[in-house]
Amino acid sequence: MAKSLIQPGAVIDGFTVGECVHSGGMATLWSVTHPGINVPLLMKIPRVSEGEDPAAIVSFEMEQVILPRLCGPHVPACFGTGDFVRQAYVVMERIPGRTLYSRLSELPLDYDEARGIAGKIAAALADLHRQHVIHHDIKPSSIMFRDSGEAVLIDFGLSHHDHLPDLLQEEFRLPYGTAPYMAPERLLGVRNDSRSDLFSLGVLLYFFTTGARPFGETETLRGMRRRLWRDPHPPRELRRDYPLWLQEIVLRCLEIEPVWRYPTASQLAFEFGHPDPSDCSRAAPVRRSASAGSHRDASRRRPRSARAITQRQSRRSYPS
Amino acid sequence: MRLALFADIHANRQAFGACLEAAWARGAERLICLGDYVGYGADPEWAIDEVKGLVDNGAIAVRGNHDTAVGTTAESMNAEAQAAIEWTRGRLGASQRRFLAELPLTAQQDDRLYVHSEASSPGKWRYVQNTADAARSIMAAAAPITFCGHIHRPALYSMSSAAKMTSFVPTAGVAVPLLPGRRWLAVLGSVGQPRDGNPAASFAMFDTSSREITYCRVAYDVEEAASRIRNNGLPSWLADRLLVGR
Repeated sequence: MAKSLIQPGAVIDGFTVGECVHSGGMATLWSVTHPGINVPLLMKIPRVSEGEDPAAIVSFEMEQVILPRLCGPHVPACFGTGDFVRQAYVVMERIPGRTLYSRLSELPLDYDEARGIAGKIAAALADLHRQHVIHHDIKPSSIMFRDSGEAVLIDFGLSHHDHLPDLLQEEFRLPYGTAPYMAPERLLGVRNDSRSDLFSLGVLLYFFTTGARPFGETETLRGMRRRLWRDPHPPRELRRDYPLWLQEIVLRCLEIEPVWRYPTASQLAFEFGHPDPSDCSRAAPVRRSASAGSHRDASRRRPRSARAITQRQSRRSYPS
Repeated sequence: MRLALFADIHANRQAFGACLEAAWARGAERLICLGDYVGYGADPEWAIDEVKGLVDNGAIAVRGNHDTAVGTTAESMNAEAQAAIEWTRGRLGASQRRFLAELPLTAQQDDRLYVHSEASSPGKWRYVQNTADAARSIMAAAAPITFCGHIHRPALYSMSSAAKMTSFVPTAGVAVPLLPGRRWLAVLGSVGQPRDGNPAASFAMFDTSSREITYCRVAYDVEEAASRIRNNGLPSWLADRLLVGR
């Protein structure tokens, strides 16, 4: 594999490299320009030197393949890719502003503002899922907003495309992702269920409206597996004035079984856009009492086996 | 350059004719034939003459197990396959049998290897049924990309630089980039006898500049192909299975 050719002033495939604008765990971001393209551009370069996480390579391959095949306002436009033979890179539109991560110091947000943000993210997810892609890393730092208001999803290194090989599927023994936001079925190796993104959005919304993460901040597999059988504290226990209709939406997103969540991101976006404070039972198919407490009796709630979840998967008819 | 790849034609004139038309329509510039031109189907003479004509015009062709059985023995095959091979033998002239016998087991072109079944032991006619089988083939192949057939079910296997395997069932009509830095085994479906539940004939296109493979399915006159099999006295299951793609 070639050593990185990236430094300010270098020219790669017509793109002139500027400054490094961000240094992340698996990749670096550089501002670039191109004579034929008059929108701000970013070049993403994977970290591939010795000692770096091997997942960075596979993750970059996925982004390299998926991003050029996406279109619409909810993803950054892709202007070119390079492979690992010479210099791996992805050039994309630079979205102005900062990610949702920059709002963390303001949490918890006002309920209506959070609802609006979540609705925009759900609309973006609906568009992404229509293009046969599941993001698999929905979290505040993966979300930006255009000046015109649309949510933009970034970072597709962990994504799954229904019509392309999933290079992450069997590559790694442990599920890759951001632990607090990871859906339970991901821990069992399921990567082809778009409702995993709805779970992650539910975690984000819970966090943004309570200031607390529903499943804590554990990074261990053992800690993460608790979400296979344990429900989170209903948000109303953390904030007394938490609207019941919003709580229902959040808890439905955080259902352990994907089949109990919203079937599609479109339906979730609709719920956000049409809150009905007078009807709290509509949101969830299984009515759960807000005072039921968060910890189900362990003897009544058995851990989900991989077989049980995948059997349910095969019975569900997948909306195309 | 755009390549069109065909595997397991099995003397199905209707299916191969439809696939060739579809390949030309997609701008195919060179054709690759991955073996099993005869066996099961009712037009072996036509199939061989067609492939021979394509080879004379620059196509690459390798030999399959049914092609080999015509000249040697079909003892290791199931009853219907044996019956079809014995019937086929009687239909072929000497030059056609010689054409089949002289085909190579493998062929290489740039960074691509063409073989009927898989690369670790081409003459043993192993089936690639899972990532372990695919890994064995990929490790034995000198070329980073191998194309094969034999199992009559499309699949795409990939080995990373860390020797981790992934498997994938392709969607027809969607171009899949075969990323450099990985090693690939593209298993084609069958032109003349699909077995993945879809009766449409299966072939593939590969663009050598973009390194994208597109698996294609083509509807063809299945009824005609089936009745040709019945009218020639071949086992009726060989006709029935075409209608359900099994």
